[in-house]
Amino acid sequence: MSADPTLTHSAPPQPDPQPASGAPTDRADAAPWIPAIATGLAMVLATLSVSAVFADWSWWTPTLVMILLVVGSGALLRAVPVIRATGSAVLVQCVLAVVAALYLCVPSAMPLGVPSPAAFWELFSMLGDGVNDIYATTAPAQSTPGFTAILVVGIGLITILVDGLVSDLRSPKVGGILLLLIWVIPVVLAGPQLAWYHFAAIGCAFVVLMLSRYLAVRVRRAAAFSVVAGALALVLGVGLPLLLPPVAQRPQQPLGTPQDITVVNPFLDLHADLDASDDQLVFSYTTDDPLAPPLRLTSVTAFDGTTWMPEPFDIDPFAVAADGLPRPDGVAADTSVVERTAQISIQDLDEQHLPAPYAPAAVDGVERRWIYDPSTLTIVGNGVLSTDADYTVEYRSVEPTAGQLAEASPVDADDFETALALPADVPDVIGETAEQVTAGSENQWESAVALQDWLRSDEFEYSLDAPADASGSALEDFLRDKRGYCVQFSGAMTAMARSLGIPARIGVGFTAGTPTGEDSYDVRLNQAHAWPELYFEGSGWVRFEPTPGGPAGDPPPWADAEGGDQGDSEETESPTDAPSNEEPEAGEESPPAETPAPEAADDEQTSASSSAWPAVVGGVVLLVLLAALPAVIRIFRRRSRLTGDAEHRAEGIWEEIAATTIDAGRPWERSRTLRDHEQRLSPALDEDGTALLARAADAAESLRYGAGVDATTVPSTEEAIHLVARIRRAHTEEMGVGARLRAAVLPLSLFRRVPRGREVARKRMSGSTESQTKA
Amino acid sequence: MTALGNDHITHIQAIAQKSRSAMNSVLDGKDHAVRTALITLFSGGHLLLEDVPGVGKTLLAKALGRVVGGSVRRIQFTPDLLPSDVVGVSIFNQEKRTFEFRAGPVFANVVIADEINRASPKTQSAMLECMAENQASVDGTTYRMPQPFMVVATQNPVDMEGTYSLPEAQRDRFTARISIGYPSTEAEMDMLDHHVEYDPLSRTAAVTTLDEVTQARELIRHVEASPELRAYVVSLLDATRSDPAIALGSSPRAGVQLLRTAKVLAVLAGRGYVTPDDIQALAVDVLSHRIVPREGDDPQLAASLMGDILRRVPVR
Repeated sequence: MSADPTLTHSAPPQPDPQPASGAPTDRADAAPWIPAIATGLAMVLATLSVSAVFADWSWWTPTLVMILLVVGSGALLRAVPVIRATGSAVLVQCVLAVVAALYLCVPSAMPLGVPSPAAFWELFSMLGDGVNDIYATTAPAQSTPGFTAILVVGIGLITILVDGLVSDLRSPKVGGILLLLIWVIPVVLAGPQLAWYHFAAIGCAFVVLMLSRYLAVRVRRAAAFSVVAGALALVLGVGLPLLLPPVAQRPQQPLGTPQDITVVNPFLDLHADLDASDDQLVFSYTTDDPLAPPLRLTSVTAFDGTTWMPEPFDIDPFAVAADGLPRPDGVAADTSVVERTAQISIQDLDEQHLPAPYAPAAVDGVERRWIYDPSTLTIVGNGVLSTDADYTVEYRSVEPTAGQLAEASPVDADDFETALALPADVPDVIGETAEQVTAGSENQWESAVALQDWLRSDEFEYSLDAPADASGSALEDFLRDKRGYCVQFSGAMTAMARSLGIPARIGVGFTAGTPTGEDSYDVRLNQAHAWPELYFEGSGWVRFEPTPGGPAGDPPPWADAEGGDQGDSEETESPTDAPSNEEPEAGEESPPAETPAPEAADDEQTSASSSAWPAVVGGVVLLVLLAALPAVIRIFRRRSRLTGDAEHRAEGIWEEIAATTIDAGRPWERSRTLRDHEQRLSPALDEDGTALLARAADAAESLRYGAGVDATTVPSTEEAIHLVARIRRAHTEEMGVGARLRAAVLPLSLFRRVPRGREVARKRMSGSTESQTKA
Repeated sequence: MTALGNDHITHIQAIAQKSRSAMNSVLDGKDHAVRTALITLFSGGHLLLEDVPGVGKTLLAKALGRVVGGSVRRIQFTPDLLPSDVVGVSIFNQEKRTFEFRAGPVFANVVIADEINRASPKTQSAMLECMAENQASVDGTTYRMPQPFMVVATQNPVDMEGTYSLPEAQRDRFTARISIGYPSTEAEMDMLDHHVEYDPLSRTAAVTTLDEVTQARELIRHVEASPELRAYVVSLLDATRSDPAIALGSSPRAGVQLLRTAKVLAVLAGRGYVTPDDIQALAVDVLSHRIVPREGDDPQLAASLMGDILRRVPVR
C-alpha cells in the first residue's frame, strides 16, 4: 500500500476548484425583503416631507405607486439568487420604472396602452413644463401634471438608487445622502411652509434606512450605532439649508396671476407694468451714449394674429453671453457702429431676459448660464433670473444715416419669413391703412418714417385705457379709436410695415429712464416699453419710435423725416380718417380674459424646444452615474483597504487581493491559508511582485498569529497598490473581453462576502492576554 | 525558562536538521516519515507506523533512537507475550532476601513495539499504560520511564491474518499514524546495492543528545498559538464530529496533540508562532487515525475524509 499523496507536507491538501457549497452566507441573505421594506418605508416618509411644497395631495398617489412598484419588483427580483448575485435587479427596475412613469404621467399619449416614442416625448415635455412650473409658482402650489411628472420620475430614480445601495451594495449610509436630496426639495421651494412634521418625516425615513441593515440581525450595538448615525444625519439635514445660497424671492407677485409667466414673454404684461402705480426702481445704469437708447429685454417676432411672442430658438448652452455675442445681422461695413458701454445694476427685476441696449457685444459680471439667441441677440437665462445682477454690457450702437436707410434695397422675402408674416385672419384694414399712409413714399425708409410720423401725429392719443394686447382685432380697434399705448403703437407699426414688405418685429424692454446725474439713469417699472424694429439691408434691425407719449422718448435721428432727402411730414396727415371710415362701429370688445390662453400656449411652445433635451441629457447622465456607481464604490473600498496604519494595511492588502480575485470571477477559498494563497498567486507575478506578496503574507501572518505586525515589513500604500495592480493584471490576462468589462463595471466582490481580515486583527488585540496565559 | 528567543529556534532547527539528514541517509526517499517521526519525538508523543512488512518500519524506529543517542529497545509482540515480558518482573533475590525489580524492555528512550497488533489486548494495554502515564507500576512500586521516552509502534494492516486490531481508544494515545510506503524504483535499486552488503544503521552515529531533546521539548511548549489559531483547531475538531460520513470524531486530546506537533513544525520553519499552515500540514497524520468512518475503519478513507474537512473549514 503506497502512501496517500495528500499526506505529503510540501503539498498541502488541494481544495476542489468548486467552492464549498456549505460556505457561510451573509446573514442578510436570509430575508431579502427586509431591506426592501425599509427602503419603501423610508421613501414614503421622504415624500411626506415633500408635501410641504403642495397645497393638495393629487401628486402623492402616482409617486406612491412608483415607489411601491420599484421596491416590490426589487424584492421579487432579488429573491432570485442569480439576479441577486449579479446585481442586475437595478437594471430591470430601471426599465419597469420608465414604463411605469409613462403610464402614470402621460397615459393619454398612449391610446393603445403601449409605450411609443411619442409618449416619451410627451413625458419629456411634461418634465419641461414641470421645470417651468417650479419657476412660476410659490409654495404651497397646486400640483400640476408637470410637477407630478418630475416627482414620479425623480423619486422613482432615487428609489431605485437607494434600493440598489441598500439591498445590493449594503450601503444604506450612501442611500441616506440621496434622502437628503429629497429633503432639499421642500427646503428650497417651500422653506417658510416647513413644519416640524415634515422634518420628522424625513428624519424617520433616515433612521429607518440606517436601521435597515440590522433589522434582520438584531444586533443591539449596531442598532445603537445606526440611531446615532441617523441623529447625526438629522443634524446635517438641519444644517444643510443654512449652508445653501439664498433662494431668489419674488416679492409683490400674488399667486396665480399672469405675471408669473413674464419669464416667457415680457411683451404680454407691459400693460400691467405701465399701470403699476408704485413706480418702483427696476434698475439703474450708467452710459455715455447720447442717443439714450431703450434697454431691450427681447424682441418678439412671431405673430399668429392673436399673440406676439418671441420666436422659439434652440438653446445652445455654449453660446455664453459672457464670451461675447456676434455682430448683428445685416450691418454693412460702411454703416456707423459705435462701441459703447453700459453699467447696469438690477434693483428689482426677476426676468429670464437680461436688459441691454441693442446690439450687445459682450456681458461682464454675470454667470455663464446667461446665453444668447444669435438671431435676436437676446440674452436669456438658462435657469437663472436677472435678480440682483450687476453687470457691464459692451454694445455696438448701430447708427445709420437716413441716407443709408433710404438707399437700402428691399429684402428677399424668403429670408424673413417670420418677420414678414401676417396671418390671414389679420384684418385687411391694417394693410389698407398702411397703403394709404405711405402713398407717395419712394422707398422703404420713407414708408417707415411716414408710418411713424402718422402714428405720432395729433390724431392719436396715448392712453393706458386700452385692451392689453395687440391682436389683429385689437389693432383694428386701435386704428379706429386712435387710442392706445406703446403695445398698440408698436404693434400697429410693425404689422403695417410687414404689410408693406419691410421685415419688422417688436422690441420689448424699458425706455432709457430718468437721468439722475451725469450719464446715470434710473429705470422704473412704469417705464416699461415696446417699440418697432425694422430691418434695412446694410443697417440691420433699426429702431423706430411711433409712441407719442407715456414713457417713450424721441424718435432716433435716422427716423426723423428732416434727416432724410425729402420732407414728407405733411403728406402723412392726408389719409388720416381712412381707417375709421372704412370700418363701421363695432361692438366694444375688451378681451382681457383672453390673455391667459395664449400665454399657456406660448409657454408650452417655448418649453418644448428648450426643456426636453436637458431632461434627456440629465437622464443619460444619471444612468451613466448609476452604471458607474459599483465601480466607484469599488475604488473607494480599494483605497480604504490599502491606506491607513501598518496593521490596517497588513490585513487590507489581503482583503483587497481576495476582492480582486473574486472580481475576476475566481473563487477565493476561505479554507486556504495565507501561504497557500501566496504560493498560488506568485507564479503569475514577476520577481518584484513575488517579493512584495511574500512580505504581505509575512506581515498578515505575524499580525494574526504572531506577536504583532512589524511596521517596516508591511508594504506601503504605494507598494500595495502596485502589488494589487499586478495581481489584477495577471487575472485579466486570462479573461475574455466580456469578463473584463463585467469585472470593471460590476465588481463581484461588492456582492459577495470578502473575508474580513480586520475582524481577525481586532479579536487578536483583545485576545492577546489570553494567549499569553495559555502559552 | 519561558521565553522562546530566536537563538533557541535556530538551535532547535539545527538539531532537527542534523537528525533529519542522518535519518534520511538510512531511509532513502522517506523524508515525510522521517520528518513526522522527528516532530513526534519533539512534541513528546508516540508514533504508530502502519504498513506492510519489510518497508523499513523497524529501521526508522532504530534510526530515530540512534540519532538522539538514546537507548533503543525492541519488543516483538506475539500472541503469547505477557505484560511482564514488556514492563518487567520482580524477582526474589535469594542472597539479599528481597524482591528485585528487573526492568522490562519498555524502559528505554526509544521503544520499538513491533507488530503491536499481534499481541493480546491485555499486553497491549500494559504497553499503552506506560505510554500514557510515562511510568509503570509493578507490585505496588512505580517506576518512571527514562526521559525522553517515545514508543514507535508498528502495526501490520488490520486485514492481515492473526492480528488484534488496536481499539479506537488505544489508537488515540498515538500522536500520529503514518505509513512509510514502498520505496521508489531508484531508492529500491539503491537499497539492493548497499543494504545487501552492510547494515545501513552501522554508519549512523548520534548527532544530538538526550538532554538537548528534552530541553527542546520544553522550549517548544512556549511557541505561541493565537486565539484565532486555537479557534481554527477547534473548528477542525468540530467538523470531524459533525461530519455525517464519520462515525466517531476526534477527541479533545487529539486537539492538544495536534497543537503540540504544530508548535514543533512552527519552530522547524523558524517561527515563534503557529500558523494554520502548520495545522493543515499535520492534520491528516495526527487526526485521521482517531476518526472512524461510517463505511469502515479504513486508513485511506479516513485520510481522504480528513482532507475534505481541511478543504471545507475556513481558516481564521
